[in-house]
Amino acid sequence: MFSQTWYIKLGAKGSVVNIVINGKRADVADNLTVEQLLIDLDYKCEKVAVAVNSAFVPRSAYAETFVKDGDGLDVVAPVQGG
Amino acid sequence: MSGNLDDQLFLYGEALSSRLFIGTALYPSPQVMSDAIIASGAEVVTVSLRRQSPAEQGGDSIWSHIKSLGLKLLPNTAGCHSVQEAVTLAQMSREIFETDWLKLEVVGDDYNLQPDPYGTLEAAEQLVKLGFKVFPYCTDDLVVCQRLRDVGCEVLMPWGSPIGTGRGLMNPYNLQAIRERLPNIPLVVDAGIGKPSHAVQAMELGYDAVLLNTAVAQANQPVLMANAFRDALAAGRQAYLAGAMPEQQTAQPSTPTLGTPFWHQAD
Repeated sequence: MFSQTWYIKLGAKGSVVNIVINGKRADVADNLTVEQLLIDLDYKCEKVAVAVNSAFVPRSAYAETFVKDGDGLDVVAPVQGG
Repeated sequence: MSGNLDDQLFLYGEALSSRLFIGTALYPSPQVMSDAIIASGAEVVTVSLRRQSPAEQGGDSIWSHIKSLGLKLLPNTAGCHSVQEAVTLAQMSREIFETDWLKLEVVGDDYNLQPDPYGTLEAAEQLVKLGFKVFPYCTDDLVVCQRLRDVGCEVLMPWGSPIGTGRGLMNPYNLQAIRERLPNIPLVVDAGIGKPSHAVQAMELGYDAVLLNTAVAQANQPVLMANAFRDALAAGRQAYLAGAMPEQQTAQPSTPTLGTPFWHQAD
């Protein structure tokens, strides 16, 4: 799902926290905001919506929401539906 | 007939000329989807949200197709099994799709994707308080519908039959009871519609609209079927407005009997 490049890049920043993004485990740098995480993962913020631990995080809160060890993130985008 | 300005449908204050809401899933291709939706005359389309990896972002062509249609969006919470999941997904939907409209789905059983009435009611109450305009997908249970109205739903969407089954209106009696007891709230038959005749039946019962997806998307010729549904909706709606004749047990000749030849030849 994610390239090795960003995985190493994030991990190289210092201490590492273990999180789950869309059901997959990932090690990311500590003290990372949702905003920085999305940028590092090459998400386009205006095209996705985010929940942390099943609670909605509005775009306006990305910059002040820090990703903590054990967090589960959902990053979703529009699809067809019935 | 879908553009009849004299017979508009008002949902949460918005006027609609078409009484067909259509889904955007399961079509053979994005182009067929676009063509079928245009042919259907629908002004409202359902959409959803799913997890996406960064690598998939280039592949959002289906969403581009949907967006380019310029129609009113009705995001759903399909697949949610709890109140919290549905409320969270609703909030994510509002941010991305920039609409307060929400087709609320809280699944109670995976066998028939039956809506959970308790979870749906609780989620609806929370979402109304958060400013959502909730379109709850619910079973054809009169009391559940009344409770959903009581918590602030201004549109109700009872099922015809389970999603994707194409079995039509399983329980017309229940649907009719809901219509009669809730005469002033817009009612949409959502799910289970398989053929245009099912849609006609819903409209003849006095339902205000029909929401379907698979019946068009999985038809051999989706665009032609979309046309058929467009005509069916118009026919059913006009039939309801016209008022059907009462059913009778015994035959009544429609041709005058006076002067029938070869009859009573000679006494």
